[in-house]
Amino acid sequence: MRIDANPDGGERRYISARHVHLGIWALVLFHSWAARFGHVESHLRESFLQGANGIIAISFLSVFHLLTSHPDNEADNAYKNARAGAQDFKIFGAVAFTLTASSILGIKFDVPALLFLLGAYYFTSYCQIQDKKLIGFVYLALAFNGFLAPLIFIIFKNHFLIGEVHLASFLNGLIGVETVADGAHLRSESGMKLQMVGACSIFSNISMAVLGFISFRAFFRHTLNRHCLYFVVGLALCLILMNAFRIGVMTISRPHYEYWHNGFGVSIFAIAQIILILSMSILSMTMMKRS
Amino acid sequence: MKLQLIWWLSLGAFVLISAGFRYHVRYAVSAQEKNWSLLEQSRLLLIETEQQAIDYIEDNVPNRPPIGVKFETALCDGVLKLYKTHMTLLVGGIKQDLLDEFHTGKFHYYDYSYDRPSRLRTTLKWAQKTISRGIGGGSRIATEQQIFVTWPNHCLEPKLDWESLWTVDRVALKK
Repeated sequence: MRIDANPDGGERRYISARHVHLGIWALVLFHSWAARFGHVESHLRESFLQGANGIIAISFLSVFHLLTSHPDNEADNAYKNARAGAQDFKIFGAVAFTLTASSILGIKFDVPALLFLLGAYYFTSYCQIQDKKLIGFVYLALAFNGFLAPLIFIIFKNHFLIGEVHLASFLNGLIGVETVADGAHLRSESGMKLQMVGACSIFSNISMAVLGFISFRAFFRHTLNRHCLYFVVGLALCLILMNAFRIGVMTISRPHYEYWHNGFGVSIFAIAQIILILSMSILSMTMMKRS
Repeated sequence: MKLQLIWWLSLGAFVLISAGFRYHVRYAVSAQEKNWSLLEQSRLLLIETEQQAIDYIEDNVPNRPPIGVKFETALCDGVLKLYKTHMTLLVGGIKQDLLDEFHTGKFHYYDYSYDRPSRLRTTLKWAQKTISRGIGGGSRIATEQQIFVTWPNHCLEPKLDWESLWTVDRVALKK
């Protein structure tokens, strides 16, 4: 393919770097969708439209926004519309080949692993796109959420579950809902006995919240700094309190359990989480701007 | 502009093809991993043939769904058992129970896989070998769906259209 620059400044006759990187973004996005929708279990298909996956949608939207929107600075703009170099096409080719080959071979966790490498590449390379560090942050957060966080949870699962049950029991005791923690089980005065399993744990929600926090800030071109740590810790504490409350009300009676575990209560919890993540992100941006 | 258009058209085609591969492969893998609905459909079909479900057979591993159903047969005194599981889950007591039943009773073994029709196996030696291989790991059969039906020697074979069971399940999967 011959690529020509037009010195008259008329119609551009080359492929710009950001179009190549948008191609990488599209490949990763569509492969993530295909992996999700390829699941036979219907609840996984449906969950794509629910709270947790809304955060992943926000992260991909952030990267798209960073690649397509025009910063105010004219020099940046010119930089962004620069002709794609050999390095851009090489990284595109590597991503396309890896994703296709791993999908044919049926390798699991290949998308998060690739996102990790991609994030590291954007973070450290000299590729010709603006905001590459922010894009790197979002891809790294996606990789952490999709692979490292589940791995950490599997390794320390028993500790997390037992710790969370005891914490839920203690916190609910403070507001008058008496429960007894026994290992990963929670017994209430009503006779309800709940067993905490992986899906009920707040751990995955915390990693998802961190992803949402980073993505939302990246959307407004706010990079991360050490002050963000305070907001992330605050966010995690709020989520732990929310989940402890949810577990507590589940123990009141069987109808309460059905409502908060399987019914509309799940949607309320998901919406509350998204609002909390967005609020904390906005708060971090406005407070840091002021200071 | 023309070059950009060619770029996006070729990219779109490539994305659709490669993501289509992923969809198909992931679908096949997760269909193989599917455990519960096939057991439920078998259970319902057996109830239709006047077998009375009396209990589930629990997995040895905690927090996993049951791997089988016990039935009281209408045709004789005895318990008919239906196991639906991966080979790799057949561990410990369940494996031994199953092998004992193979020796003392009658059984059918059905092998379900995503890309070919079910096959009926009735050779005891073959089943024992397969179970050993499955538990040993590294066997291809370990990822496939299996159904074992065992019943006492003096009982008649349950009349079930097993072929239609696979077909129904496959249609359900496609929806």
